[in-house]
Amino acid sequence: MKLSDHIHWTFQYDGRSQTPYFGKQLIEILSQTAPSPEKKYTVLPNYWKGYKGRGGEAPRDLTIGEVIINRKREPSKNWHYAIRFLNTTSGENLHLDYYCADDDLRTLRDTWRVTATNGAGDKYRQFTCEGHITSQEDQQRVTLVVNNTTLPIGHIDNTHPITCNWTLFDVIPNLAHQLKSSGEQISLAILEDLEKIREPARIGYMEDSALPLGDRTLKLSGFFVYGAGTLPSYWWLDQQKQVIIASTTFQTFVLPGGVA
Amino acid sequence: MSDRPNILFINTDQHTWDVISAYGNTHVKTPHIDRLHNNGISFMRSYSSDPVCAPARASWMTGRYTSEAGTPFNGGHLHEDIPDLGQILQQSDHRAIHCGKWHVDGRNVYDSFDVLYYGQQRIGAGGGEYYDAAMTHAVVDFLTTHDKTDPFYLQVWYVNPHDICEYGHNFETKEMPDAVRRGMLSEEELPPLPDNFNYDTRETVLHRVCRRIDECLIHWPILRAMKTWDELQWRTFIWHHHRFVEKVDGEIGLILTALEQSGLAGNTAIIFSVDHGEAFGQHQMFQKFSLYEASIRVPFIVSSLGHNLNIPKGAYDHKHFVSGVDLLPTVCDYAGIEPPEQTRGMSVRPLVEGRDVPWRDFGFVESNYWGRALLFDRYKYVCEYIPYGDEKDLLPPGPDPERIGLEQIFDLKNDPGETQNLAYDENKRALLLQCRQALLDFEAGLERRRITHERPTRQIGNWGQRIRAHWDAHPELEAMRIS
Repeated sequence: MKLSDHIHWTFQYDGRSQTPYFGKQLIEILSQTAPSPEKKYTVLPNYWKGYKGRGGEAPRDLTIGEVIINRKREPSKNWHYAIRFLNTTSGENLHLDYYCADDDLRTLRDTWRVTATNGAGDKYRQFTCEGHITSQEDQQRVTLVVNNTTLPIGHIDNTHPITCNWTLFDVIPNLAHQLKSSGEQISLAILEDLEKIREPARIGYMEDSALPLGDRTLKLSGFFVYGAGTLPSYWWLDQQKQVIIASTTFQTFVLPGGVA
Repeated sequence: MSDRPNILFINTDQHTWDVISAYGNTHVKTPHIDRLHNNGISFMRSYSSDPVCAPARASWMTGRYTSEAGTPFNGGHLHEDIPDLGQILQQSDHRAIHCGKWHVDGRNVYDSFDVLYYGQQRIGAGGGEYYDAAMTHAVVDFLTTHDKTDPFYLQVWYVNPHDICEYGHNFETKEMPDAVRRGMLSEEELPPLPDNFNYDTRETVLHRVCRRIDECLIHWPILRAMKTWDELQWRTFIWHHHRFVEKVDGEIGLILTALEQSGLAGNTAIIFSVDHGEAFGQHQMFQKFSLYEASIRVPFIVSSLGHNLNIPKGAYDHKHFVSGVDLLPTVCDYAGIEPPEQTRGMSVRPLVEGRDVPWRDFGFVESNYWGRALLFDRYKYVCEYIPYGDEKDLLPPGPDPERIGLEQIFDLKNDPGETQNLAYDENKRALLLQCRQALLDFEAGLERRRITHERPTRQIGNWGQRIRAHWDAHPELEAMRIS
């Protein structure tokens, strides 16, 4: 088999039990005529229909969640982000509320809040934390406060800006031209879900590709994020420099109406 | 505060013993598992009882080997009358709590444990990316609200790095891209191909039919694809596995910090282990299901982030063979109760505390119903029982010298990569016979029980037929049996 037998290896992870409907649904989502006024991505499962539900035939609707990214520029020039990530496989509904600097890397500002609720019905119902960054000499220290307990979760040297992984939907478009034209890779520290510090990761340009959409093709530019502790992820921008597809190992995020 | 310690059992899934930076692996960064080692004792001769998820977990929960428990495969069925750890702990003051993947086939986790979190789509084999972070939230919330007078046993069964399985399945029908040529990875950052990439061609027939031949019983489509991989593709596969290890290491870090900051660390014994390893190219294998070290050898660390418990810091035990069956008696020991009489395992607590206690002379591992391995101080013995072909007697095989098929002996001291099979070396004949006898003697003491449930019965029938047919189709194999 050749790579060309699949839409693309970065977002069509279809091992032995993936449903045949993945590619069809991905293109249907992208082709919807009424894009949402908010930045909202549909989450499709990679690999296995079981993450949608067990038993019976492969489900035709593979959707396992959504990500809604609301952000606005404050009078202070900081960006305020409110992220909602619902995953119906895990059952968690995650809300992240944070501020970033108005720079290309959307450097995380000093305080934030994370709330997760669990729809799975077990003893765990809700998780809430507040996060803080404090600068000490040449380091930025990150702490979380959970149920009045302070958790020092680590530090990063000042040379690395800290970026929340969910902000990459804006960071990669910000950097796309530079990454593509220079061939350089840019290093940043990712604070995963605003809770876990990952070793400095790097963003780089991967390749251009064309996504077949019926009688036309959509030109895309692909980027990757790799790093220790960071799940490899792939980001596809259209010519308007919006992320229309992003994928990790198990999830593909698709922008409804991305090509409308 | 209770005078009995809390017990926190953390496991990762499909994580070979040496993919831990504290043990010298420079291709992975595991600062939080390192923290467990630095605050505890690492048992370096620790082995899975049976290197597949459900069998290994059944042994953890019962202290029994899988030929006794009814769980020789994923999809087995734990015998109903064997109590599990959650039920046993009901005799103690400890609240038994489960969080995460379960995969003890035939036993409903809700019947035995308080369940913190098990996923909305209940966790099956993989999906660490979906579930592990939610598990961490559940555990951190629990630890930061826990009443310190109420002792607990909490098992946190993470899924990663098991996601490497699905990563591999992804390339069953398409080429793995060359990330080096694309400039995404440099060759220098890829782990090397293992020294033991090649394999012994005189492997057991069981292993050949399950894992090696065309149309093999376990994951043939991936094997078919991997046969075409070049060195860089193998190394990229290993690189991905290590990222999944680091991902789950970060989850562990958050719960360790929560344990410390909640004031629970001083009175909590932490056990870290893994159900089975991942071969990532050793012997040109992937995943588990084999009796090679990468598949069966797993970390086993007993640790404490405080100073109240008698647990050494940064220590190694290179002497004692530890097995998955030892988890249950160890937890019972810390909880202050006796394990059931039939338990095969032994509490490692005396070893942790430096006490001299009688211990087993060798490790015992089962695999794929017919496979067996014994681990001795220096040598490793691997063998198989030959299926009947019509498996009407569903009593797990052994001890039966007439049914022993092909055998392997490895000198783990001089050949830790298991590349030289010494079973056919005339100078090692006495050793081979000693090993074989040790196996037969040991198995005579097991309470092997007939498999009765439909799914494992069917699997034993189908697999037995295939393996027997391979013997019949290759008469030269019979000549390879050592009398």
